[in-house]
Amino acid sequence: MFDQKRIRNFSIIAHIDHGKSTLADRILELTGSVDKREMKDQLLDSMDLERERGITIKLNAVTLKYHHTDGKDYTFNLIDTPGHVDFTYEVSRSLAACEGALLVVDATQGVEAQTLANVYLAVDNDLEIIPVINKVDLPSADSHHVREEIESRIGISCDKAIDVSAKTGLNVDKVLAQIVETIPAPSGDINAPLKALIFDSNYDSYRGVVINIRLKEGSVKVGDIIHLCAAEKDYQVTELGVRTPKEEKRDILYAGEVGYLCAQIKDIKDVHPGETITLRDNPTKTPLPGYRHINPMVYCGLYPVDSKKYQDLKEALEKLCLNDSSLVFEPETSQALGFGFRCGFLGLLHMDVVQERLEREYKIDLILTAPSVIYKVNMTSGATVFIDNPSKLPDPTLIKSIEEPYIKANIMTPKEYVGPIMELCQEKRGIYLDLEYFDETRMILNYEIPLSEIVYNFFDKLKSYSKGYASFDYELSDYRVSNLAKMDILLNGIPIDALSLIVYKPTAYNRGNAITRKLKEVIPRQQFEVPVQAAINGKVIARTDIKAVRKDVLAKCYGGDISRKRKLLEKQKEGKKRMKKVGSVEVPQEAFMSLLAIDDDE
Amino acid sequence: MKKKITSLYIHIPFCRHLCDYCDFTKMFYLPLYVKDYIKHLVKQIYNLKERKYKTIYIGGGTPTSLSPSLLEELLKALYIHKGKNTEFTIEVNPETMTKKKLLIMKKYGVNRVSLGVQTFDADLLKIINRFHSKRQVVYWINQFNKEGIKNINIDLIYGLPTQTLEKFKKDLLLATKLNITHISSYSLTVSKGTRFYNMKVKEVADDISREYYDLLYKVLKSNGFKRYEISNFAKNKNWSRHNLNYWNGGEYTGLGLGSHGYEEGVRYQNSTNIQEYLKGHYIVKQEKLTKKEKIEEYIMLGLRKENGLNKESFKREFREEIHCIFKNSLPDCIQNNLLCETKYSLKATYEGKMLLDQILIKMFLDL
Repeated sequence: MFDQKRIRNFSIIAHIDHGKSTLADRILELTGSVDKREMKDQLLDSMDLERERGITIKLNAVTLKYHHTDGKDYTFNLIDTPGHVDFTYEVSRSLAACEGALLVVDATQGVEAQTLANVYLAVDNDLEIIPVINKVDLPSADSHHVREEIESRIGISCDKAIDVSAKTGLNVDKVLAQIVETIPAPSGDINAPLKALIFDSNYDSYRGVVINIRLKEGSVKVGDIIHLCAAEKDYQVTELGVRTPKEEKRDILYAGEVGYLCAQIKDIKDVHPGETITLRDNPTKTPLPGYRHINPMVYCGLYPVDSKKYQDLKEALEKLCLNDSSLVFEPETSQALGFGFRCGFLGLLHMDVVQERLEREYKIDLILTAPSVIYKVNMTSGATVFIDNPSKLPDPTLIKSIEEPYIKANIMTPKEYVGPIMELCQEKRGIYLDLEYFDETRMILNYEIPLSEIVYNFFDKLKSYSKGYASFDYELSDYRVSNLAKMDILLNGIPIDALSLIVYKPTAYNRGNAITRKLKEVIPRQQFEVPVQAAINGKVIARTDIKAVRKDVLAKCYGGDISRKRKLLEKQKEGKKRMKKVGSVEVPQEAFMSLLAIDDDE
Repeated sequence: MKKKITSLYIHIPFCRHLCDYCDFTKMFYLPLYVKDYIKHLVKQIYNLKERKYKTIYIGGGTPTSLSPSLLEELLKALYIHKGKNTEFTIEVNPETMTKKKLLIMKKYGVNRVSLGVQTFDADLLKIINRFHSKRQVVYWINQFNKEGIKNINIDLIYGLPTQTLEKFKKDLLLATKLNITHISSYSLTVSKGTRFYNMKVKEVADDISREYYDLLYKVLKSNGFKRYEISNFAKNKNWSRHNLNYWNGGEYTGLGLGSHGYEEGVRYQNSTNIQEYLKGHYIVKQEKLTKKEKIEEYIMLGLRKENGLNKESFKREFREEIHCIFKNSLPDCIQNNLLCETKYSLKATYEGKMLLDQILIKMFLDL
């Protein structure tokens, strides 16, 4: 019997490390969804990479049965959200699938910028929020203080807040009861035309795209012809079901429910989070609000170290794209690196994750060029071109102006670090917006900063300037004209396209110096001297020389040295395999990315 | 068909002093162990299958740290395996050398000695914790010559802390004036576990090491010492036949603590733990070489020799043309003047010898 009143849809909002996954695990355990024996720690984060980094990248939803103190059974749909700034839009869409959220705050840490950003997303989506103060078992826990902070700073009442320890399981049962009592049941007319929200999808080679949906109105059954409102495509439903977390097939899903849908959809690019599904023959007139097509924010070149692996890389990227609608790529050729791909990512973390998966799961050694944002180039001819690869910047004489994307940065920091962080933001060409107190000890800084400066060593510096205490959130703001130019890097007199970058002219000299010095450090010495130069418009602005190796031979090689020496050479050979011959110079794969980790002042 | 093993290495790990840079298997001379150790060696030597070896080499440690009677016991055992033309070498430390030991050596047919001189410079000797003097070295060289052991090597080291090119040149000039046939010279290598390593002594930069080497080569050449391996120079072709066997990829038997051997395609190592060794647990590590590894070693060793390796022998050994195996690296290295070839041989040029490790890595990538 379908009973909308017995459904609760919620997600968990938390800062990294505040214990979201552990709490989810306890909830799964308490509702008997997962046998303790089959519990892998932190079940919802199923990718190895996620588990290692302690972050959720791919969304998951799970349907649980809960037996409440009123003697009735309730259906809980727990919808997980990714916890990183690159995925704000995805978070907002999965929150839109819920009526409530658990706000998990570490009792030893308090509220962080990330949490705040996601809470605001939840508030925007009219969610009922239950504060959950986690890690109260730790000696340094200060639940009282954290409650105050939540009330005064976020403006959420902590009357119903619960102190828990997800680790020990303390009070997790109270959280479950509170979910029933506080979070409203979904509403929505089950007889209205179908309106279902897509909040996630993944690819399955047998069933095509498996879409995770939240039905807002109406119902859908196997055999129905559905219509994707934004993509304007029709498909026939081949399978419906819920995950408990094992898949359980259903013939029909009703408004209020969360489940998955398969319709032999071949291309995940047709299936975007936030998209509305309706029925072809009985369509809704008003698709769900909030849908945005999100575009990649940073691009980089991806090349196999071994050029024979080009095809493998292509296939691997295609496979990753099946499950990742925000990843885009197209073939690209570099004089220096040969055949590869230009790939677009939502942000640096997204890029990192893709790189690691390619190297780890597909065993392809990669060279990544330094990531670039998309520049808007206004030509003297009146045309406008978008450039995602610095080496493709048109001849300067044809350019009227170059615009670059700015972001609105929201930095929360203990107040003692405000000075250094403001300095950092100035250094990064930030435009100060405002500074407000969050509570007695913390402040929120708002800046507009060029995205290219965020890409370039911003996170690490923010971390070190604030001893790791500052947290950071951003959203794209707009494009602005900047004083930019292309800087070429020359190795042994030859410009290396894969090392080109677009720089802010007034600080180009420092950047050029820092880059040439860094390259001298990471490129091993060769059998000849290699000049490293940085040039703008053909004019060299910085130079260092990598001295030639003069002697590299084992002094003694007798009976006992032979095996040892052979093994040593073998090891060095493996290192060499990860180098790319660029012109006549052997360049290690890290050299390209190392440009990002440079401190201009060093 | 089994190849005959033509070389025998015996390791004497005991030392009266431990040198700061030495990373061979070594230990203080403990009378408690030494006697027992020689007993084990002698037994093993009697059990050897080969009757005669072309070369026998006693290295250390410090072989001359043995008492005359133990030395005699050891040499007597080895004597059985000495043929008429056998090269029979022992490493000599001037500090622990005595007339008595010399006569024992002579009696049992030792015909080549290698002196670990390292340097004649008194200050440098102190730095490396060596207690001999220039006078002692000269004295023993004369003594050996007088007793008819005329095939004499000395080791010289460069790149020591506070050493200069001038000091090294002085060492070289002095060495070439001595009545010796052979000089081996190595740059200081700081290995883990040595006192130098713990003292954080740094090896000299490669460009400085290269200057030392260029000097070494020049001075020795102009004084009649011709290079036949990267670090080895000989007058009148008095090459170390024992070491040449290594560089030719030949097999050899190794006896004694921590020593290595290579028999029937298997590289093995004897235990480095004296207690284990004295229980008769000799061989602790064994590794059968694959064809690829054999090829790697063949070029790694062969290219160290002045005249490189013989392409015909290579083909006979591996049933493939060397050019077919090293398709990319050979033309590349030849073009860059690192390797050169004649009809029969492939060898590293002077520059190539200096950058041999880089050449080898390049060649290994072809395998």
